[in-house]
Amino acid sequence: MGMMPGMRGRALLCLLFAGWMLPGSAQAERTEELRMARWADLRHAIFGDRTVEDAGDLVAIDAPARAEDAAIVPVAIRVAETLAPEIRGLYLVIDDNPSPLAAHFVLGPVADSREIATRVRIDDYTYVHAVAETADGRLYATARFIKAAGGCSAPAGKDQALALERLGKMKLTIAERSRPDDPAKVKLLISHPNNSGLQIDQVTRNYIPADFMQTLDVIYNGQAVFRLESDIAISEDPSFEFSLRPSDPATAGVIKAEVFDSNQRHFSQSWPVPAAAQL
Amino acid sequence: MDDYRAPTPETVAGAAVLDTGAAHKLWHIGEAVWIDVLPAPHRPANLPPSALWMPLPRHNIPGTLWLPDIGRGLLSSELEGYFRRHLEAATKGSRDIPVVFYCLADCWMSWNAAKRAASWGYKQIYWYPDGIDGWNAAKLPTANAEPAP
Repeated sequence: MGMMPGMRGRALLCLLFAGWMLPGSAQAERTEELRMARWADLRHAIFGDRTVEDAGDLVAIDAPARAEDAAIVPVAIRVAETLAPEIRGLYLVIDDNPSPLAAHFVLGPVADSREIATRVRIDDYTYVHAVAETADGRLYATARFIKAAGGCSAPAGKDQALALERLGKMKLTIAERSRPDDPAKVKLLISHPNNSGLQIDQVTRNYIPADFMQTLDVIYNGQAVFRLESDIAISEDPSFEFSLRPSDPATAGVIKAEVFDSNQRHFSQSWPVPAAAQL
Repeated sequence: MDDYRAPTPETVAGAAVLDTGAAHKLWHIGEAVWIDVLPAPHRPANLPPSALWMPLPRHNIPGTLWLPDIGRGLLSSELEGYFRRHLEAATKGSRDIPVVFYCLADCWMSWNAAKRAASWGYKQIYWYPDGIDGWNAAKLPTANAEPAP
C-alpha cells in the first residue's frame, strides 16, 4: 500500500522540526525514505494487507518531542469525539524499537476510548505510530517523531531487591468527577521491573533476563474496560491513565486489575469505585 | 551504549590507527580480519513466538565478523570466551594476521576491543575509530550483517 500524501507531509514537517542530523544518535543515517520503508514493513507485519488510513485530526499522540528519560517516555493516544464511540482497539508502535509493537489495547464496553496513556522505553530517535481500530476493522494511523535514545538498555531506576519485595503490588486512584455522568479518570500503577532483556547488570556484566508484563486486564463490575497485550517496551513500573464510563454511574462498583507476566506470575487486585454522587 | 559514546583518545596501545582512506585501502587488499563490536539486541527467551521481533538491520563493512558487545569495559567470562574463540578461528590461530576493530565514531567499544586483543598477543591490530560512520560518510559499500553465533 502506498504512502498517504497527508501523512508524508506531516512526517516531513516532523523531520524538519526535529533536525534529526544531530550527533549523539546512532541513527544519523536513518533517512526519511528508510523510516517510511520501516513503517511500511511494520504495517505489513502487524496489519497484513489491511488498509491503514491517515487519521488526520481523528487520532493524536501526546508525547514530548525530546524525552528527558528514554526509559520512561510518557505517551498518550487521543481519539476525537466523533470517532471514539466506534473504536475497539488501539495500537502503539515504536518504529525503531527491536520489539516495535509496544502495546495493543482491546477496549471493552466500559472504556472511554478518547484517551489512554502509558510510559514506554524508546531505543533510538524514532517515529511512534498510534493506530485506532473500529469495530468493523477500519484502521486510522497517526505519527509523531520522538527524540530519545537508550531506553531499552537503560539500567533499572529502582533498587532491585526492594523492587522484588513489592513485585505485583498495584495502586489505583480515581479522580473526582465534576458531574455524575462524566467518565471516571483512573490512574493505575503496577510494581514490576519490566526488564527488557537488553539491560546490563552492572555487577555481573551479563544481560539481565527479560521479565515483563504480558497481559493486563482491567474489569469494572464484571465488564471489560480493556485488555492490554505488551512486552518489553513498557517502562519499569508500568503505569496507565484511562477513563471508564460505567453504564450506571449512580451505583457503586468494583474495578479489578489482573496481570500475567513472562515468568508465569499472576497478580490480581480490586478496588471499590464509589457511586458518582459520593465522589 | 550511551556510556560508551564519547570522544576517544587518538591512539590505543598495541594497535595502529586507521583513518577511512587507510581502512578502505586495507579492505581492498583483503587480507585482514574485520571485526565490528557494536552491541546487538537479543530476542528475549520468554517473548511469545507470535510477538514481533524486528531489530533494525545492521549494515557494516562487507566481510566483517560481527561480535556484539565484546568492546564493553568488563567482559563476562562467557563474552570473553566468545571473543577469544572467534578471534582464534578468524586468524586461524596466527597472532600475525592483521585484525581491524571498529564500531561507530566516538565510541569506546572498538578502542576497548583493540586494546584487549593486543594484550592477548595479537601483533597486527588496527583500530578504525571513525567506524561505520566514517565508512558511510565516504559512501563506501556496506552489507547486511548478522551477529556471529
